Amino acid sequence: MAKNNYDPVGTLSIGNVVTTSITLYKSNFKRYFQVSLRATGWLLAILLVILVAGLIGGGLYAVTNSWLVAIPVVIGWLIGTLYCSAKYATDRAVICRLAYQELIDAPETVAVATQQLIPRTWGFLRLTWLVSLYISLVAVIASLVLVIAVLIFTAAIIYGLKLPIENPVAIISITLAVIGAFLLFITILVRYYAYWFVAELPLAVEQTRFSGGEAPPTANASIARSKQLISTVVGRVILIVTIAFLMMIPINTLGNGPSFVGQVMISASTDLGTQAIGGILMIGGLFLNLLSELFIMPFWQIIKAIVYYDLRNRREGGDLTI
Amino acid sequence: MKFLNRVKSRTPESVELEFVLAGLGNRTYALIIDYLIWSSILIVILIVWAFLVTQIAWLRSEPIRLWITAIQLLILFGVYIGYFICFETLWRGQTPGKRYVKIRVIREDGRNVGIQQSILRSLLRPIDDILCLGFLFILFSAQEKRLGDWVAGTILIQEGQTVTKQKIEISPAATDVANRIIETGKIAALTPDQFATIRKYLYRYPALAPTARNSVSDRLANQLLERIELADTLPTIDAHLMIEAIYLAYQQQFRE
Repeated sequence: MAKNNYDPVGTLSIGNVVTTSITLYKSNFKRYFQVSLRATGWLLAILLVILVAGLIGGGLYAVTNSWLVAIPVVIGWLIGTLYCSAKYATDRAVICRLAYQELIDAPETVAVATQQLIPRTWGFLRLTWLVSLYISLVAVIASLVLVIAVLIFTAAIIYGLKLPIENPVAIISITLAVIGAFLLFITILVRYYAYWFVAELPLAVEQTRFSGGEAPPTANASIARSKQLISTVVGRVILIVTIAFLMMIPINTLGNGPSFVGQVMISASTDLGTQAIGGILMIGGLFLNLLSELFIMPFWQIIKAIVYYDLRNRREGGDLTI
Repeated sequence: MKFLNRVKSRTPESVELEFVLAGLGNRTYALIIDYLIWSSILIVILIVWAFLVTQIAWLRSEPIRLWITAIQLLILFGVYIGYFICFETLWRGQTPGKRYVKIRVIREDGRNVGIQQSILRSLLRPIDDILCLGFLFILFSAQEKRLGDWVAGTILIQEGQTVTKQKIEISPAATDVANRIIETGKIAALTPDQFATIRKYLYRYPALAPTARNSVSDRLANQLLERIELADTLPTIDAHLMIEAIYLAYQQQFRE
């Protein structure tokens, strides 16, 4: 039988990363969806905690008439929220782990994977925080530097070259500088997003050896490892994320469209009837949003697992064995 | 890769072929590239047109203007529909995007697509694009066909990577070692699959992280030496050189 699929290199092309994740998702849909349902449950629980804390706080205030009751209520709310977010982050990582184990031919059941990751629950919470913190830092620093650079450039044009602000040359060059700065900002942000794209994976599947035995890496080590693995292939990762994102546009539109339309209707119209319809659309839209997230989240987690798997093969040659 | 869908097809001469289907990832990637090129062509045409009409007064005179508009519409329509038809017919099932991503449209029996198939695919493209119908059809059909593919009887496959494009650098010192291995070892004990792993290793060695190289080379070299029953007899040499030598030895053995 002739074969056209001669594969001399054994690594995944950009398109095949995305395709593989779809195949993997389709063939394990029940298991991944089950975890996704559980994760969404924890998301809803965060809302529930707010509601319960509000009710209890209100009740206590009505009885005691003292603002001091806010202290235990806020503490309780904080603990509840932290716990639920940690559980949510862990369930996301469970999907990554399930997919990765599938890729290395050592599949695990949902129960086993969850059991493995329970001790790392707080690690995942810390990791999620750190990544968002780092991304925000990058965004703040980059925007500050770029805004200052554009201002200096503008000042140089107006005062240095003594061009009036109405001069077409001045207008065009300043406009170009602003557009350039904006593009640069997006590039920097996307680049760092890509660096930390697989940050969950090392914590979810790796064991670091040290003299006393084995332990999962810390959240910081996991994030650093993601950057170390991806730093040579940032462009590939960005392309993979772009393709996956574009492919998800239909589902995203379905999920976010109605609530967006509802928002526009509420803010643009003064007519009460229109606003009421807008409100219904918005609430229904939030539900749809959650529903679409339910389906899309596993897809992204699987992509992360595949990117990580492929990168480890590329960088560490784990599959090069007979 | 076992996670990519495959399809078997039988040619009119009853030869059975197996193809790896292109997959949604590659198809989306190719489509993005094609739409970028295609829309830039359309934009350039429109800009040139606008420039000509505003600059040349003669083009704005009454009877000529109608003609010019008609010609413009014709050109736009031609590019709009013709881009995919022309490329798929002339490049045997490929467009610039598909060529870059290394996928190809073929008929179900493995033959190249002709102008008929390309036209059918192009005409149904707008319907496939509406509400992402094509996306859903590809997602849920075993042979990953959108409506255009069903009607035209075509499938999209991945093209094999050509080995000649990938260069393997082998150090000159490996030749001597290879000769010794042929004399003393059982190179014939290596299976083609194991040889393929050696080749993968050599392709990918430059991209391995410097810290990982030694452990990968050591592991593979030991496994290979075990296989060809030379584990203890050869003096210890660099593991990477050893693998290169085994690669050469296998090639020489089976070329003769």
